Amino acid sequence: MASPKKIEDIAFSLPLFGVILIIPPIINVFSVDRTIFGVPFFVIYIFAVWIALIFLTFSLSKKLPANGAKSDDAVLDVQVDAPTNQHDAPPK
Amino acid sequence: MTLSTNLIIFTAVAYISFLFLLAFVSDKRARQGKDKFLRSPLVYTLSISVYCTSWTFYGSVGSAARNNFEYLAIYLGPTLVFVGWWFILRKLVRIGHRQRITSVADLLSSRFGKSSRLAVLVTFIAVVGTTPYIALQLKAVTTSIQVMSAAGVQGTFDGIDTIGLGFAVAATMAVFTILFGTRNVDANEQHHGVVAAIAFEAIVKLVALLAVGIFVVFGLGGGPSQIYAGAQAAGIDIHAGNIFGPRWVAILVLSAAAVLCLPRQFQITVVENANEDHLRTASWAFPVYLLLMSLFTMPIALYGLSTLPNGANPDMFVLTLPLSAGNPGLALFAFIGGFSSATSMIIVATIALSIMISNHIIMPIALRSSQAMERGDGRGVTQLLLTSRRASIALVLFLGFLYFWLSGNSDALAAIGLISFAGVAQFLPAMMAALFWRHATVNGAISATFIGFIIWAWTMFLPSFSGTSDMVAALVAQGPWGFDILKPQQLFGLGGMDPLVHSVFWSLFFNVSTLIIVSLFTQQSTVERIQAALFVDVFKKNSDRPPNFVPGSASVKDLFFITQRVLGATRAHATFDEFATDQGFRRSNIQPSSKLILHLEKELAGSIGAASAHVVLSSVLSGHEVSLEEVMMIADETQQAIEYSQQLEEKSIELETTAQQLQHANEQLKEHDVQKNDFLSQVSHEVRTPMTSIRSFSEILLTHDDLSKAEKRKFTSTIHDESLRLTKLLDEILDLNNLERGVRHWSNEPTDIFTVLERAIAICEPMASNKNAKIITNISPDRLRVLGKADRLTQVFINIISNAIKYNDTQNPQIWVSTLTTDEDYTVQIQDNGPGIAAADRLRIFEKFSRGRDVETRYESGSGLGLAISRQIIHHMEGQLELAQSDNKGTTFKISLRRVVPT
Repeated sequence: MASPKKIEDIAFSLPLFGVILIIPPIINVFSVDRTIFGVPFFVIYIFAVWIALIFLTFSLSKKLPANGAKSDDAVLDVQVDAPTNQHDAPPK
Repeated sequence: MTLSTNLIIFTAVAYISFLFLLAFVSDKRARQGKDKFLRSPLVYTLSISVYCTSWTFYGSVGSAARNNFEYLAIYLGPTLVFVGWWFILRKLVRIGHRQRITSVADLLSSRFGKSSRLAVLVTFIAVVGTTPYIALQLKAVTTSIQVMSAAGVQGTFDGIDTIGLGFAVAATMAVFTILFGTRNVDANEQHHGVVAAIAFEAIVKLVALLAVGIFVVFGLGGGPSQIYAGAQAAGIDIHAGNIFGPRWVAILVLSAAAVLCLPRQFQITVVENANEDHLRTASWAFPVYLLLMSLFTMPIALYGLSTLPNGANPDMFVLTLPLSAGNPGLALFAFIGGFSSATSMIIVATIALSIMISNHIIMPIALRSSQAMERGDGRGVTQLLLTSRRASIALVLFLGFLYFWLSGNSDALAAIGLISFAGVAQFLPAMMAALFWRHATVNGAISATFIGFIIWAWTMFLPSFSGTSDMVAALVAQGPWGFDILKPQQLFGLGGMDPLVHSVFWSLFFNVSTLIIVSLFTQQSTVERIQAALFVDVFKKNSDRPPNFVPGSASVKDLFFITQRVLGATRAHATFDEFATDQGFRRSNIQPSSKLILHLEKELAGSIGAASAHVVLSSVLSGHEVSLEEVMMIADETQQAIEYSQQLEEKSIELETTAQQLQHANEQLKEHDVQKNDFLSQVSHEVRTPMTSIRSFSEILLTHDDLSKAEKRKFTSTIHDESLRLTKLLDEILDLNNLERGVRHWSNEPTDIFTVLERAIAICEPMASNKNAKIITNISPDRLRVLGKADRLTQVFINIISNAIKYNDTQNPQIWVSTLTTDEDYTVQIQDNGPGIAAADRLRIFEKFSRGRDVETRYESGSGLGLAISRQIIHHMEGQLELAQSDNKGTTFKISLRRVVPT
């Protein structure tokens, strides 16, 4: 299991790789006049990248460290929030 | 089933009524605290999909028909932003919560020293960029109604023209937004009813588009491959061609910027966010939503292009395909989906804009003119706020309608989506600087945003009118007054580019450069510096620390008065009570501390925006001798020192200490190493001597058979003696080693010192008489107890007394053992009249293997460990063993022990 710092680094590089993969020149490598099951090759490519990004973001979202938002916010909320604005606990 | 205009309008009205009901019930539940579901990550994610307006619902099919797969970039940009949520969105949301941010204008103004100029500029740009977008939604709704009814039987609403329809939609939306968007001015600007409605609409539009997509692809088209094959047969190029060029990148950049900067996106993602952790879900769930939304776009477009007659409007394929396939029910569902996309965008955008307009334009003016402030009933500002909010909503929608009306049926609206994106993208550099660049200044942000806006307006917004205005067309073609260099679409002679790329490049280039250069050459004010630290360092643990300024001499009464005017009496009381409880003192004891002012400023900012809250509080504070600004100036040094250098200092001090400790440890280790080496060489030396004699005598015994019995006996006894000596030496080394390490296992007990001394002297007596020495005692006969161990103590006394006997070579050797008692200590003094210890040796007699000077008596002497062991023993008994005195008339050792006084 990678350390939280490593996970953060992965989270940082993921969108960068995502960008690189869908802009020229890399995307032009896949922009060939070929089809897979009748669908243009590059369409398959883009959607594959897209799904991979979603999947990786999904797995990362479970592993990234807790924000500490609750504890921090709790302190702050008591201080500045009107009672009507108490945040709920995150759904389990 | 046939579709009449009546039916269509009835469906729309019924749908809207349902939304009203939904919003009403949700609002009510939220008020009762039953808002678990409303505040779930799912609802949050769905509401973010307000990104998908009718422009994407209908328009992306049109875009796919015209520009191939370019529409994908519109969805990929936001996908990447959400994939990288940990770094930008999370920070935005955290700051939004901490600083009570109410809008994108509020964010920038708050970060850049609560500047109202910047807030006004941002608001203005947002209105200019969004109004046409709202008009676009109105157009989509009216066009879709027309398309639907053109296919059906004529109905009673036929007399109504597009303009009337557009007005009706705008008016209905205004009513809805006013009802649910301005029910109150609660602190966070969160609107649960509206969010619930938006989330519901998100589901409707997704399901509608998927339904049409599945129907077209699998019902009509016979699968994706068939569709692509059909399109190719119809002469359509299904391959990418050269779409992945600069325009593709520009659209990616714009859509990524839009999902952060569009007022409605900011409203939903940041302001309406109930819990930062919801982003964790949205980070992947929103991209999933976008992916589903774009899945069938291209097949629908291709199927429409290849089957519908030439000239059919591709923007309406989503409706016309089901209609032409004889499935009006599905078409009606699709219509509701499109209607959902349009209305959700209109509602959220209007709320976001109205908050900006009322907080940053109307309120500051109203507060300065201060009429509202003078109403003593405490409801003045609250009322003013609600009224201005409602008026702003009406105004925004009216502007949208006006734009829709004036642009008529021209195509000017078709491109407005990207134009609007490019407009709000001008906030992006300032926003990123707000989050990540501590030294960006307000002047940099204002000038950058302004220049970006001007270039955008000139190169993109203005040319969008060239279809409707001949004057604009001429301007675009020839440049103003014939200046080629200023041609809107070939600025500075940069031609040959796609107009979109051209505009995005120049506007963002000037925007970013101006931001950097102006920020580098201007200074931050104190407020800015404080805010910058709070924004940039929002994730640092102590970033909450309030700036330590003294609030001048405003009284609590003044502050309460002002709070009451803005928030109303009930909430003002609640705010103060809460503050008092928090700080742990009674309400009557509240002091006008900096904490209180900060607390109030945040609370007020939640209602009227940071800039206005600042103005309001300053108006109270600046009437006194010391103004807030001035005091903050005074506190600036401290603040700066704290924010910038404290951590650095802490770090370096920490490092220094660690280094010192390491150095110290290293020295000790070295010392120990030296000691160990010495000890080892001494031990080997000590062991060597007896070993050598044992070896040589045994060799003699082995090799010389002719030795006499007496000689043999002598040699054997020498070997025996030496072996004994060796054993003793090793025993002592072990003993010393144990003593040095065995502090843990040492336990002292009360020991009868008299008995111990008696015993030690008795043991030494034969040795003394052997040397004709006399032991004279003067021991207190009291049965006193000391801390120690009887055996060990005896060992020490024997060691010292026997040393005194052994080394005493005077004629008449005498040893005196006397005792001295104080309340706490018991001291034994052992004195002799021997030759004394040489001055040079006195300091090191307690060291291991050090002996008295007399080398010749070496064989008589012990291992040289005796005193070292004794001292260790006494040390363990918490006592002291010292050489009290020594000269050529004798030596005195003193052993102090701790008395155990019976309690």
